[in-house]
Amino acid sequence: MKRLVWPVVLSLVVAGGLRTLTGAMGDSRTVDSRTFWRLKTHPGQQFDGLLVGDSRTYRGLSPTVMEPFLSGRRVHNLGYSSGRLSRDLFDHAEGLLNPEAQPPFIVLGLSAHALSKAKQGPENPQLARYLDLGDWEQRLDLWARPLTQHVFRPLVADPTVALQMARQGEGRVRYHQRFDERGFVASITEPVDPQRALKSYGKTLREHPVDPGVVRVLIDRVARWHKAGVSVYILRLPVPAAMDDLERGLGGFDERQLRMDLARAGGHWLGLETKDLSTYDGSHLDPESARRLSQRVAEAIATDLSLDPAPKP
Amino acid sequence: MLFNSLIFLLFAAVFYALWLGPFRHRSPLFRQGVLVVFSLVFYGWWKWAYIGLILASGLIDYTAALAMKRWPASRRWALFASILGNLGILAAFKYAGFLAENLDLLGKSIGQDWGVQGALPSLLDTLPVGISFYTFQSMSYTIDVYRGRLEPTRNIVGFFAYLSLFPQLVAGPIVRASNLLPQVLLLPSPRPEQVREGFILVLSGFVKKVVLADQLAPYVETAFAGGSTTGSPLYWWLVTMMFAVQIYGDFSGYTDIARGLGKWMGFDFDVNFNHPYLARSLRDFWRRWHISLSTWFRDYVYIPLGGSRRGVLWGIGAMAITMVVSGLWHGAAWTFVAWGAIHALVLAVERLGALERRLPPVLVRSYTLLAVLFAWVMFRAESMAQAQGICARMLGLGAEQTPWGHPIFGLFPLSVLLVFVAWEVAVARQWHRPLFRDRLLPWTLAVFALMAVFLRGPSAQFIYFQF
Repeated sequence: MKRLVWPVVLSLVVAGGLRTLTGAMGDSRTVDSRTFWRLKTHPGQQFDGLLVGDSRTYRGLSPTVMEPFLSGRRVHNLGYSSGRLSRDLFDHAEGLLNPEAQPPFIVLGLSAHALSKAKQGPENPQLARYLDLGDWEQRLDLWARPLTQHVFRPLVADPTVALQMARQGEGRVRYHQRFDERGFVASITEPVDPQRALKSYGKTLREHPVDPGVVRVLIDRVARWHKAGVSVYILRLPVPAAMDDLERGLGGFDERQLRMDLARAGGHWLGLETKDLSTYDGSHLDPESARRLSQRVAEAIATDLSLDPAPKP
Repeated sequence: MLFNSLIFLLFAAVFYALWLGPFRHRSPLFRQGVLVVFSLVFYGWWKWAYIGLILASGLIDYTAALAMKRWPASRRWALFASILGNLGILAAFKYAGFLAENLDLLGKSIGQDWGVQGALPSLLDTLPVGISFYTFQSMSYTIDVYRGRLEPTRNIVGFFAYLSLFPQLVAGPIVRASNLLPQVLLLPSPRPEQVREGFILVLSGFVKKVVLADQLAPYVETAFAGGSTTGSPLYWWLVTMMFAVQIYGDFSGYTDIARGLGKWMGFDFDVNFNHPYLARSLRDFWRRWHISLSTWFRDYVYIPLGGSRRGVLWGIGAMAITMVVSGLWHGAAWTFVAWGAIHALVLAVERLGALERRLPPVLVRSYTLLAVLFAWVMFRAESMAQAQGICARMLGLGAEQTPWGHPIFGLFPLSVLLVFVAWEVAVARQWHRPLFRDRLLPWTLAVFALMAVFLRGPSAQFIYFQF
C-alpha cells in the first residue's frame, strides 16, 4: 500500500509546489462569477484600501492595476451591482479595512443611483445575499481556496464564458466579462453602444432619484472615517454627456453641492482627467479606460499620501 | 455529497480512518451500524428529509421478505405489497409530475382544464437523489427472496447497511442483494489485492469524471441550453460525440470510484461498464453499458415477460417493452422514451436480420455507433423538438454555419476526444496492460492523480444523480 501511495503524494507535492511558484505566470486571478461574488464579500483578509460603490466602480477600478502605484498597499474592490452607498455597505467595508494601514483609505465611487434609496428590501440586495457564508460545504470550499485555486490550480481555463459568448453571437449583443478575484470585472459589449443604458437608467432614476437621507448618511460616514484617520477619496466615474444630463435632471445628482459637503466632512474629491475615457454602454468603462482610470486614481492617492508613485510590479 | 467535493474527501478520510483503524476489530453489528450512520449522513447531506424515503423503502422490503418466510402460502401477497410500495414511492416522486402534465395536455386538447399539475403537493417537485437506484436495489432483495434465491435476514442493521451503503447508493452500480448482502453480513477485511484494485479504480474513476466528463461538459451544456438547434452539421456531430464521451466518463467514473471505495471496505461490486464504445454490435453494447441495470431489467422485466422462449416476435416485443421501460427509468420525459425506442428498433432490426452474422464487422460497428449517437441526442435534448432539430442538422438539413473560431473547434476539446479514442484503441489491443504491472503501477497512479488535480474541469454534478 505504501508503495502505491508515496509516488502519488510525492508527485502532488512537487507539482503543487511548482504550480505555486509559477502561479504568478498567466491568468491566475480570473474566477467564475459565483466565486467572484463570494470572494468579493468574504476575501478572507483585510486591505489597506477599499474601492466602494456600484457596478461603475467594480467595472471601472482595478485593484491589480492600482497596487503597483501604491507602494505595496493592498486594495480590494467592494462594488456591487446596483450598489447603494448605504450603512450596510459601509459597515461591511469597515470590517475589511486594515486599521493598521498607514493610513487606511477608502475610494467612494459616486453615481446618482448609488445615492438613491430602495423602495423595499435591503439597500444592497447582492451584498445581503453574499453576506451569508452558506452551508458547511460552501464554507469549506472558501476556506480551502488557497489550496484548490493556487497550489492545485487547474491548468485549463473554464471555457464556459467563451462558449456563452459564442451563443450570444446568435443575433444578439455579445457581452464579454472577465471576473478578477480582487473584485474587478473587465467588461465590454459587441457592438459598443454608448446609448444602450440610457433607456433603462431613465426609468430607474425616475423611480429612484438621489435621496437626501442617503446623502446625509454618506456625509456623516465620511466625517466619521476622517476623524478615525481613514483617508477618504471620492470620485464620480466618467459617463457620456447624455448620461450626465439624465443623472442631473431625472436623478437630481448635484455634483457641486456634493463636492462641497463631502469636502467639509473631510473627503478628498478626485478631479481627474477623463476626456480620453469611454464607456461601452453609456454607463460602464471599457477595459482600457478602466485601466487608465485605475492608474490615475492610484497616482492621485499616492501623491496625496506622499507615497513613491513609481510602479512597483 | 459529491465524490468530487472537498466535503466528501473529508468524510471519506474520517470514515476510512475509523473503519480500517479502531473499528476494524469491533463486532459485525457495530460495524454495520457504523455503515448505516455514515451512509445516511452521506445521503442526508442533500436533504435530510429524504432519509425517510430510504428507510420507508427498506422497511417495506425487510418486512415483506420476513413475511414471505413466516407465511410461505401468502408470499405472493408480500411480494405484491413490496413492489406496490416501492414503485408507488418511485411513481409519486418521479412520474407524478410527468403524468399530470400529460393529463393536462390531454384535457386541453378536448377543451377541458383539469389542473392536475397544480393539484400536486409541492413535496413532489424535487426528485430525491438516487431514488431509482436504491428502489431497484431494495426490490431485488424481495424478488430474490420470493424466488428462493436468497434467505431473508433478520438483522435489520445489516439489511440497512446493504441498502444504504454509501459508495453506490445514489448512482449505482445496482448491486443485487444476493451478491452484496452476504458480504455486508460477513464484513470481510479488505485483502491486499482489493486495496490495490481500489486505488486503480478510485484514481481512474476520478480521471474519467473530472478530466474526461467535466472538461467536455461546458461544451455540451452550452450547446443544448435553451433548446438551441443552431449550428452546422459538424458542430452537432462534435457536440453529440462529446456528450457520448461525457456521459460515459461521468457515469463509469462514478461507478469506478464506487467500486474502489467498496473494495477498501472489503466488498466486491460487479463491473458496470466494459468499454461500451468498443461494442461489436448494439446487442453487445448492452452487455457493456450500465451492466447492473441491463441485467436487472433482463432478470426482472424481460424474462418474466417471456423473454425469447416464446419465439422471435414475442422476444422482440418483450425486448421493446423492456427498452422503453428502461428509458422511462432514466427520466419521466418523452425524450427518454424515444431513446429507449431507438435502441429497441435497431436491436429488433439487428436480431431479425441477423446483422451480426451477415454484415462485415466494420459495418456492424458503424451502425452501432450511429444508433448510439442519435439515441444520445434524444437522451440529452431538453425536448423532442430540440432532439428532432439537432438530428436534422446532423443529417445536413438546414443551412446553419458555425464559425471555425468557435471554442468547440479548439485544440483542447478535440484533444480530449482524441485521447479518449486513442485510449479505447489501446484497451482494445491490450496495449495499456504494462502500465498496470507492478513496476509501473505506482507511477501510473501518480499520473492519474496529477491529471485529476491539474486537468480537472469546471463541472461538478454527476449526470446520473438525476435518475
